[in-house]
Amino acid sequence: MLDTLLQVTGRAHPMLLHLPIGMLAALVCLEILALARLIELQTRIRAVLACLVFLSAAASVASGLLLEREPAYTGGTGWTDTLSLHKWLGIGFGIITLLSVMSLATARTRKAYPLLLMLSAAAMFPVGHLGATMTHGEGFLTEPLFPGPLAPLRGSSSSGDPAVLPASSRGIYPEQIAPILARYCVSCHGDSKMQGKLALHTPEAILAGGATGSAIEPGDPDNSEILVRMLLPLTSRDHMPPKVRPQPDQATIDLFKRWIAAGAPFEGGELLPTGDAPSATLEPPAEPPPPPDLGSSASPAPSSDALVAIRARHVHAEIIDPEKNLLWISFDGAAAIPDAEMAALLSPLAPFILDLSLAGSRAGPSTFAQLPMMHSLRRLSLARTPTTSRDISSISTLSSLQELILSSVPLDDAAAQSLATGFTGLSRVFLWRSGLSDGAFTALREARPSLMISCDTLPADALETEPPPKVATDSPP
Amino acid sequence: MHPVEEHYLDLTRRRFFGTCAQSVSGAMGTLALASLLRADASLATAPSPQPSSSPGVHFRPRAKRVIYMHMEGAPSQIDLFDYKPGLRSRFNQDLPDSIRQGQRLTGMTSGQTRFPVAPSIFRFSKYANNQDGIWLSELMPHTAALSRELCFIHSMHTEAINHEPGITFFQTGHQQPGRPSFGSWVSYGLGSASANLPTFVVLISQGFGNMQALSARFWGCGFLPSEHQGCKLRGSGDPVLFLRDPAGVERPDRRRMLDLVSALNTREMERSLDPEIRARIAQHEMAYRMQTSVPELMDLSGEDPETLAMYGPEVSKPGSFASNCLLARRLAERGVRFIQLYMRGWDAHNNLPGEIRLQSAAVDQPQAALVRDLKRRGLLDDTIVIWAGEFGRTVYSQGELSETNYGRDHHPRCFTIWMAGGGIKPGVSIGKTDDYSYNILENPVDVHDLHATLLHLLGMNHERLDFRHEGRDFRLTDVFGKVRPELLA
Repeated sequence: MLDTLLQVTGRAHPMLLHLPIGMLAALVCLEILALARLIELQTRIRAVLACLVFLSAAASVASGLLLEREPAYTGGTGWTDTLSLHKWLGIGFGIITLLSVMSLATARTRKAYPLLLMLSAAAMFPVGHLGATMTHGEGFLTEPLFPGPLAPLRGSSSSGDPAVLPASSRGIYPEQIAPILARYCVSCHGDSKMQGKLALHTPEAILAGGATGSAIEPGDPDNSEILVRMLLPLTSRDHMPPKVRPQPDQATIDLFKRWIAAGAPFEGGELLPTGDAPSATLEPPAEPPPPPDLGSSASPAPSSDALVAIRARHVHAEIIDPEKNLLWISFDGAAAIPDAEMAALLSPLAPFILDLSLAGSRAGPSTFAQLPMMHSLRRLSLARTPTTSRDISSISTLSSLQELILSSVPLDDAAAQSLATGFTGLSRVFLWRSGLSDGAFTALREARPSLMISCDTLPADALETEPPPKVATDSPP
Repeated sequence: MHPVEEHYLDLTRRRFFGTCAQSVSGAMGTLALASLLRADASLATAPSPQPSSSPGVHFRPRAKRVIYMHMEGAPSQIDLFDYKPGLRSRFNQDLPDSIRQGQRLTGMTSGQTRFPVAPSIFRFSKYANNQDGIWLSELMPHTAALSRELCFIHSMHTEAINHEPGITFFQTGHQQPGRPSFGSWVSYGLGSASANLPTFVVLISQGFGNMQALSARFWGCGFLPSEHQGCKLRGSGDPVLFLRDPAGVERPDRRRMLDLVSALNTREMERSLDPEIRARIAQHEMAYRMQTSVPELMDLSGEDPETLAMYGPEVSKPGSFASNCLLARRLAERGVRFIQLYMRGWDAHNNLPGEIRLQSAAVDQPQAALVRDLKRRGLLDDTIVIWAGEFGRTVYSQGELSETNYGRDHHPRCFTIWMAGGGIKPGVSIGKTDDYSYNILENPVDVHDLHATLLHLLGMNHERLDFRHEGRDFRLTDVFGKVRPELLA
């Protein structure tokens, strides 16, 4: 009950924190007006207001400390620094407001009051900003001030109404295609910078092509270099735009393709229908497009958020099949992660995992519940985990699995039964120190004669040995 | 990564830090550092799912890591692997000119008036493999007993005839110093698979025979960013110098110091955009994590007695080849991509039989144990194990030849190496040499081919793994190298 109450108090932090801000602003305004001799500020009112500032600040700090105990604020790794800075600055702010109240008590300390008031006003800004950073995200405030390092030119039609544009600015190219090029290409392939001797800012330049030949083949999208490069997988070095730059979405690429297919007219032409509102092609996609929308042009890819999350916990996650975007995930350097968190990290990536090493990890029921979802899984290491025979049985439907490593896993003979009947694609299993009895081994070998069972490679004896060399005996002393 | 892309990333970072610095006051540099520590995460939110610093694999790899045992000084193929029974009857005869074909000599034997054939005094036995068996000498019985797992290449050849250029060529693909080491290329190409240990680790064992110097540049990163250089773990005392915090310095103190230094470094990086500063910040953080990960790595108390015994009696002696083989397995388990072991002392110009006995005894049991241990733990399948010297040794004796003693000079025209695991064809011998183990008759394999094949197994096209330096794209294989399908499983 008390816990719940404390929790609710903590969650009132976002509301409470505005009180000291308002009170302090009011007090500062009154002080300024008093300083300008526009009003008279009575000492009693000043003291009351200062007290209210302190009390509300104390309430904010207290509720903030309660809020900090919530799992959402303790589990993360990335922002703990922002959080602790916010916390300590907030506590400092509270102390300064207390000091300014106390300074009003005697005539001698009253001299410090203006300074303390200014200090508390100054401290309020970083505290508030850090709090907002956690709520709204990094750079929320400054984002509009600093558009990208090399902000591409905005297309002409982004502001203008098509109806009032001059005749030369009407048609597919000026209204739909030029803005795409301006948005994604012209910063490197333009008047001032012609990478690959290619410029795309005027029709003449586009037709002139670049170092590797023509940029577009009107009417033939499949042989148009620009389009071909846009459609290459992101991992290809020839992919354009470079993978670090904003990428056009599928609708934009389709539009571009239809324009080339239509003979790439630079003047006139009916506006091509787009999937979204026309302005959609001008805005960078807020996030990388979701994988299934890429259609036939690229394989689905694992979510980058999930990859960021798993790597933040020092789990190794690497694309080892760039064609199909499949992953190798290894908990080798992150053995301390608890079972439930392992499952949460793996869950969004499950269909993309080709090779999974849980060796030495704390994989348990939650993680094992994820494994049957891994339809691409070819290799699984459970070495040195407390895996049970029941766990093995629960994943025996994994038909894609080819290699299973159970070295140093304390199993009983029921596991051999699952190995004999399940795992239809399995070609190799490692059972060194798995605790299986000789009988279980024999039964498994009989049930699946083609399954390679690796235990330990015992040294082999020589087949034959050459006779001792004669030279040594015949030799003179 | 292309330098222009790299530059964009730096600009992005700069803006990122700029907004941070404005959001609080400039004095609150800790926040900038907090952002820096998150910098990788923020970059990874870009559309690319791969870490930004490494190009990543080009296709699905067969192997994920390499354990490279380099035998410094060049072991004698004639006494270990390349069985030439016919030489017994040619004891002390002159090497025919038709065999030597004017091959250049080193300064050590160029003054010799004759080149007497010195057959090996060691007995060979035939072991079963996946072909019709292989003859191996009595010097390495443990290794020979794993012949079904190993791929022997009898037809390696190199261009260098002296140790420095020879090792440099094997490690960097070029005889002259200055290029990145193989391990550095792998680190650059694939990135780290371990958050707490370096990507490229070097372990050195002292030998018993004639030893040549080992330069740190053999595991240097050349013109690649500094974080790709090999990290040597020392064989005695602390494995990494200054690993322990000095007396009176607590871990939080160290953290605060690093935070401040990184904040200053970050400011300089924003100003100069020098990628080496980024490497330095990364190295500081790695060193901080190694303060806990290295003692854990070195702590063998969790190893069971049977495993320790398998590596032989020297396993508990730090710096021994046995101890380093065990560490190699532990490093592989912890996600280190490239583990390079150096065993010194194979340069047997004189007294070869005595020296090679000691050298072989030191490496035989541990290296066989390593292969066996990797295999039973399910690690051999995705780990390439290579065992190679920088060249071979001559069939003719250097210095006096007797029935019980001889020496051998450097021989680049043919020598034997072996490999195992990671997509290598097991239990085969590749290539053939003539009756004198002097010239290659079949299937010559050069160093560039070996590099190209190993990169192929790691999922990289050796022609696409490049780095632009001083206006030119450099490759490990320069303009050479072919993937050799006969080596692949």
